[in-house]
Amino acid sequence: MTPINLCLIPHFAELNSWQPSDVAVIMYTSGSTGKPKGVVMKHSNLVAGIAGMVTNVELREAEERFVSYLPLAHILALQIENVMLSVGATLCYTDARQLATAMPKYQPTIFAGVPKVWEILQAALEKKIDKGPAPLKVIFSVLLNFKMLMLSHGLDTPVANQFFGVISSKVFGRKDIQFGVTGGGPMSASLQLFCRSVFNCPIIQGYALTETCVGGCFQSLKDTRPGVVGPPVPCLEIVLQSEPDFKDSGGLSYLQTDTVGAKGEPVIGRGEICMRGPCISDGYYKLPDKTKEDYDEEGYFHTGDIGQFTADGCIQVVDRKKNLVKLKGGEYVAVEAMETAFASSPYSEALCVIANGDLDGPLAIVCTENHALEKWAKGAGISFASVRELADKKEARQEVVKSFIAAGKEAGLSKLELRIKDCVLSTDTQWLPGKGMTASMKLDRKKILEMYEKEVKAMYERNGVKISS
Amino acid sequence: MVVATCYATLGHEAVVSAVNETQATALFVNWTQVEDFYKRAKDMPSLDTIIASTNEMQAGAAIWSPPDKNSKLKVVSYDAVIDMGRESKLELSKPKVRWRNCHMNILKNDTYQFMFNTSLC
Repeated sequence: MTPINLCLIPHFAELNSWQPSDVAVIMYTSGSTGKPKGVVMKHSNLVAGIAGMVTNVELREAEERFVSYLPLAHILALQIENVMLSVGATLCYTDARQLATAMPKYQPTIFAGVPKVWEILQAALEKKIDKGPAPLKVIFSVLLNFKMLMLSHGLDTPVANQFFGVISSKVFGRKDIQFGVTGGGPMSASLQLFCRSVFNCPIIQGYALTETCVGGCFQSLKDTRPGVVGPPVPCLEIVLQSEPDFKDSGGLSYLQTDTVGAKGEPVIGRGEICMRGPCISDGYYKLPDKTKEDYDEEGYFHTGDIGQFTADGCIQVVDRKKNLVKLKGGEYVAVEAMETAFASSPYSEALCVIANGDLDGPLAIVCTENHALEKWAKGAGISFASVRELADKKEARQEVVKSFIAAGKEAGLSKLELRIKDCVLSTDTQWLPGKGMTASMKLDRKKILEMYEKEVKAMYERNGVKISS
Repeated sequence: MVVATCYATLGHEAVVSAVNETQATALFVNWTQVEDFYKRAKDMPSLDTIIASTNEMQAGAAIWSPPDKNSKLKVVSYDAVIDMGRESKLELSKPKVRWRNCHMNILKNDTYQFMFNTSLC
């Protein structure tokens, strides 16, 4: 990488003298060793990223309205705002904590969020319906099941749409938004179907990284498959690099030449997703070694994600390489895929799976959905003074683990992933940015393990885990 | 102008490290954090201005101001920066689109501009 001239220009006139090859942004993101790394983005990278997204995602000029609630230090917030400005959209600002009150006021036509944000919308809605009159509950449940069934067969439901239009009006301030975007991690099939049904709109998945300036993959509005992030944007080439050291749940390596995936589905190769094109950033600021590690000589950025091409040229992300963890027996589990599957357990508000070389089965830390847990205990005839006391009981932990296994079976997790043994139940803490979550509401694993150090140690002890280091 | 951005959740240490690495001269933060960064100014020799926003602060919340008015490090409010721009006699010049051909004609007219409103600049 050529050295960067970081002059901060004091004269206004010179602000217009920039070139496409000049640096526009140095975006600091968390580094694996603790010291953050600055991703160097040129003006041309940012514009290419914008161009890519605009080409794959259908936007109406001067018609769209978008609510921005992530900090602009986050690549998706920065680039999606630039995309919106490039089509003359209206931008509205709010804080993540005030989304619920801001959205009916702003009436967005497009909404973007990480799966966790969609999960929060789902939970809030379900809670409201649950508290409502009994007939409403019945109508909601009947229409939801009917619409989900129809949608999964590719059919529309004009009558049910009228009912869900009322719900959507309460959440977004309008009967139907154009579409919802989800990214930053996998969204479970059940959550995607729920949101598509209730909010009367397509939910598309995207996949991109800070280093690619949001150039990546975006699903077409007509593609309803869960777990598929769509084809690469036109400013990007993607190759899959064989990873013989990483094995799928069937014990087979991820290879460029593969024609069949772990579940028997047809694929056109599997391996680490590597991206090249004008949207790829220059590297990490003043970190030549790290840059060399991730950006190769042919111009490919190595994402660290394992993926596969579907038969129709879309990308499916399997998991982060670092989230594919080898357990004691030498077999791999996909941590993020497990968390996505387990999230549909009624007892879990948020969860973090623990897997490492010391364990022969995965474990988890769970923020509990207290109402569901209490309801179960009452039904099972277990007495408890407080939900905290209930969470300390072995039966409660086993019930939560049982619900994870059921949810995991439904999502098609591997045998080893279903061998989850135990969990820590946390009843009184909400994971928020800086306290268990990153600014974009992704799990901050390191922080969570720090927060629950004592409880995790106790869980290790009761399961006879010996820590090797 | 090159803008460097840093997540609030990465912590103050990360911001200090980013300021030094990029040799940034101005830091854009919320008023609630001004005092902390002002006190750490000696660790960030390149810094000469802190621009502070009152966004998201509760009405009536105390606004910290630097004890030493003659200090080399200036603390100015975001509103004051906007006023400076408003009062400026410099003529505005529209950004020009120069790379239409290489980027698929996405930028259809000359009204496109970059906006940055990040926690560190």
